Amino acid sequence: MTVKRILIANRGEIAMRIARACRELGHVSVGIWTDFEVNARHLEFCDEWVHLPGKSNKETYLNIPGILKVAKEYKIDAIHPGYGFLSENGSFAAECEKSGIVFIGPNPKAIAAMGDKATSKEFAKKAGVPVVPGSTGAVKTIEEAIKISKEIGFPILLKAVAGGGGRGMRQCFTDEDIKKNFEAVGREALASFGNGDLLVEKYIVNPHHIEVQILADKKGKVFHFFERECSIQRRHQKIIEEAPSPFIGDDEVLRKNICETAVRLAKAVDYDSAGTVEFVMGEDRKFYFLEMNTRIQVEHPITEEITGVDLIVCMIQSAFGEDLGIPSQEWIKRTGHAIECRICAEDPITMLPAPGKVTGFETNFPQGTRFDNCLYKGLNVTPDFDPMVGKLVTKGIVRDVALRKMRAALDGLFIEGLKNNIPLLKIILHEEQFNKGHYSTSYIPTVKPQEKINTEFDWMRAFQVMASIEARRMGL
Amino acid sequence: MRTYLIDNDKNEHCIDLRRTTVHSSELVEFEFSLVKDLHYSNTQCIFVRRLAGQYFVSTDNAHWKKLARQDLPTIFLNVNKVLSIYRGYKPSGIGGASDGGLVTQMPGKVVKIVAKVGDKVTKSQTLIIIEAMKMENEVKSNIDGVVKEILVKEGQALDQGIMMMTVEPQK
Amino acid sequence: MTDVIEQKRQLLIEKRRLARLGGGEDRIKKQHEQGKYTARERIEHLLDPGTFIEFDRFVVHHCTQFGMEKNKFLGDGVVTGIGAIDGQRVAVFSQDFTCWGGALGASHAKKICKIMDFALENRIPIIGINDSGGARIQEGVESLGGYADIFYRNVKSSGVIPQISLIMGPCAGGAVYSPAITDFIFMVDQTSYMFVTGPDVIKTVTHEEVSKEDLGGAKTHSEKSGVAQFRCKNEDECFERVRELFTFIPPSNFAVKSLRPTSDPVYRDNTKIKFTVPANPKKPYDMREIIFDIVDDSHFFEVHKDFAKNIICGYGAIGGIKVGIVANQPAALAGVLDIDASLKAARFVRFCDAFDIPIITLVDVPGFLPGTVQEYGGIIKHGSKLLYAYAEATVPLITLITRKAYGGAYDVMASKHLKADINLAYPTAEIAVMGAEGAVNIVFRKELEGLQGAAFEKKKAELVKNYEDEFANPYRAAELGYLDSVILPEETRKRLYEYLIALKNKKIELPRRKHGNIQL
Repeated sequence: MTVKRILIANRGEIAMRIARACRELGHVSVGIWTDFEVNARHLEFCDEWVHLPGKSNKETYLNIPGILKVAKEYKIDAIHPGYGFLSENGSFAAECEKSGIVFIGPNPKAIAAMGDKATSKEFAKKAGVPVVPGSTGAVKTIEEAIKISKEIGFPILLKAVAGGGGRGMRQCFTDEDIKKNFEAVGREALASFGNGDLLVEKYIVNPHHIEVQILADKKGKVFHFFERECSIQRRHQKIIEEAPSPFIGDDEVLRKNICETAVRLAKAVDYDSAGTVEFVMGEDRKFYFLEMNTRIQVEHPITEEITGVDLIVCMIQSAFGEDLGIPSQEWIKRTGHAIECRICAEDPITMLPAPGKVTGFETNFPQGTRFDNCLYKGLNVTPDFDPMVGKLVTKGIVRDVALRKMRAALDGLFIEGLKNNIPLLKIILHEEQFNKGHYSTSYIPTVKPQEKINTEFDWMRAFQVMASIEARRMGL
Repeated sequence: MRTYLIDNDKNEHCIDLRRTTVHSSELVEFEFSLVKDLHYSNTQCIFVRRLAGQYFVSTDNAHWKKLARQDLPTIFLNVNKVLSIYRGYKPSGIGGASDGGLVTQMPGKVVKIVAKVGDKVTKSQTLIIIEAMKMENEVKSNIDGVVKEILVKEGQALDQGIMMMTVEPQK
Repeated sequence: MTDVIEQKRQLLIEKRRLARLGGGEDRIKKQHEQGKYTARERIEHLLDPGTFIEFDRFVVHHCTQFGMEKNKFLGDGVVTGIGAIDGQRVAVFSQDFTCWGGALGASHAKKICKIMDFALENRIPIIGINDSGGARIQEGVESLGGYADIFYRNVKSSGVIPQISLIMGPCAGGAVYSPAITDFIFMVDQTSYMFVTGPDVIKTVTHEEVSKEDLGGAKTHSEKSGVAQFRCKNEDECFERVRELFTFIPPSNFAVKSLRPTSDPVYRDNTKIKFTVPANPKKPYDMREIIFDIVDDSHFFEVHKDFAKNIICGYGAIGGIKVGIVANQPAALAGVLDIDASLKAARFVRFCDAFDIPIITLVDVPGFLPGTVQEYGGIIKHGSKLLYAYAEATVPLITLITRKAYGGAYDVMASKHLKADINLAYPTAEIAVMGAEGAVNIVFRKELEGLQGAAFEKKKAELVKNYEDEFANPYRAAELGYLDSVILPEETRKRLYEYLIALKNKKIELPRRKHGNIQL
């Protein structure tokens, strides 16, 4: 095996993760350091460091020509984009290929195919993957809308074709609702997105967000690593993920069905490397394709925990055309249950990002807890970056054990000086519905755990901090 | 000695260190109290022990808990509020005098009287406009209250040190 | 054997207990009833807990007149020693009113002199808590000699170590000169007063009736005479203010400077003050708004707040660097310079210069206050004191002209010619000899002669507008290099920080001389 030089075009905890995987395989990891994050902890784990000048993400991590120039200069063999930034940028993958640099991710065609919401749906349909039923294209009249709604069944969603972010859509439960809302949504869509075209889509009540981890090598073999449920979300961002899905539970038939559907789709686009197929599942246990993420995801650790396979290492091996060492799909078994909580630098009640400085960081975890993070005392979390500072992962033989360990882990995680969402996570981990496994993406808006957080002044802790200050002043 | 914990919205908590007892070179006991409206509450003894270069705290000198290591923190995080620690003083902000008499600071002319007798006024509300030194000076109330009497007229030329208006303090 | 040792130990413990009692339980009770702490309690509250080490606890007086030898108090009415404020070592003396009303005698003064010498030799600040009835008549001239010894040391330490006086009781007659020489005086409402001759003597000599509080209380000295820089509601607040002051001033004149910890980012925009300076030059605004937005955490520690409100002096930090700020206040007296303002600012500037604290000057001054009161009061002498102070200062000086800078006042407020290091201006700055109205009347007298009514108004308005366009802007001065830069209000904090970093190691020297002849 030849030693390859791998550039990590990312930062934070994922850069650390990739660097450790590189080291494990014996490759040289090259990390990027920028002017606006001089004390980046991910560099600790990288063998070599390269400077990318610039004052913002645009000039550094998102700067394709800049990164490729540096890659050529430093004789880089492969680039791992992590997640976010350039990981799903088809043109970046293509440019890497052109420059003779291996892009540790799927081939550009697969990225292009699955990158667009419309084309990915087409591929899915062609591959026989169920998609959210709805109109094929824009609906021009109320009558047409009512006709389609009757076909697919109420409730439906009148959605702006060009919309996003939860705006430009209205739920309709009956014909009357359509008659009432059609014009209004059209106007709203025109005003917000410049395009007043609407489409009709089935409204999945209390949807569950279920995704399947896919890993493929360059020799055409595609494997799935079971599913994850990521229904606890705020602002359409996941904060708690579980593997396997408590909603699917013991229904092995459904599990096999959904996982094999994902593999079918991946094969249909000649997928290679790691990726995730996201589905939305209603209470009626019918699932529909949502989208495919052609990159490694934040929540990959929980899949690693229940299957025991190191996905990042496999990604790198797959990228260099090597064998993954997985004889067959049946060889991949899952044991136990894993949960991940994303620790973010945000106000636990408003759930808005809150930049600040870490003045103290201590952990006191139960056995077997995994905390992928880039925290250290003195870290300045700025608005330039994503507020997520770490991922707390626990695993148990059954779900209850995993929950118990997570509760203990959250109690043993101390971050001082930086507002964080640990109080919110603690409330959720103690909440009845969550513990029973009965939740969907409507969890946070309906259960509103953030309102249950006790914001009373914790005078005991204040006394303890004051005591430590006085003791230090006295020279204890 | 008093320590103030104040957050961005000017909410403040006041902690008094009532007593310090040094038990040994490794163990100190502090007695803290919360101060609210001049009353002490939540009085608590905190023992601090130094062990292996770390600080451990206890309330009964028997059960110990490790403190997250911070050097000399100047901020305290309470769930969703970041409070600044002011040890021994409360930062002087915008204080102010408490009498309600408005006196001319320099010779000038009354341009406009904005308030009327009996008007309820708040601190920093403009009551009279005086032109002096080629400037329009807004004379503002320095307390919350009710306008008691107006002693000047619009257009009147005034010398320095003339009482123009009185405001009776009222919450 | 151990019995003898034990006896000796017990003797020391007993003496310590006696010393702590001062003048006795009754007198302590009386002190508390008046709303005053005892000398030791004050020290406990002021300093970091558990850091006070007392000197000369067992000193007694050696007077044999008037049967004094029968009555001796351990400590002789004053508690002296060293302690720490926020970790910084300080020397402190606190007069004990429970011992003969805190009256000063020879030993009492010797104790104070000893601690002052200690402070000077070891370059630590000295804090004096005054609560004394005056000289001890029984000790005669020795008391006067004691006072003078103290005064000499006040002057010897002036400008070397910060000297703070807390007036927490009476301080009358000759005793007031010591606080007067010190750098900062803190007074407490209702329980403290300072005057040279008291109401009784005044009544007999000039037949004026005045109460102690009105004659020399905290309010009088902070607002009328300007003797006291700080006025506190009660003793607790006083201690807090002193501690806050110590976070801004250095422990001695050549101490290594420390940064003031803050989490306020330096490179944040000052968009809050973008429109603080109003477009209409006749409209006043509160200069404090600008100051609050520039300093770290909006924490501005104002000194001498109630005196000469037309100028603002205080301490703040920018990016952790401690600075002194002098600013005209357009909201009071239109921001003019008068006798009181000049004196207040001059003393502040000289303290900052002595202790190596960079000074930031914010200028919006229409000129000097006219009038006979000022002229007869000596505005010529006193106004030029501020000029002297700025010219003599060798600390980094950064000046920012926010709006007006007219006439002689432009020169006085740290202009380039007084060797200010950096001179900046906002786009709203107006730097000229005088305002448009006055200037037009003089310069264009011929053009305006003979015109009347509407024609006069029109011509005048036109000339005024031309003058304003030509001169009422910062660019004339910028063209001559009298300004280093014209900046936007949003950039203020960033720029000030950059300049302060660059000026960190500034070193200039004035010609060698014993001392100048400042026009006192």
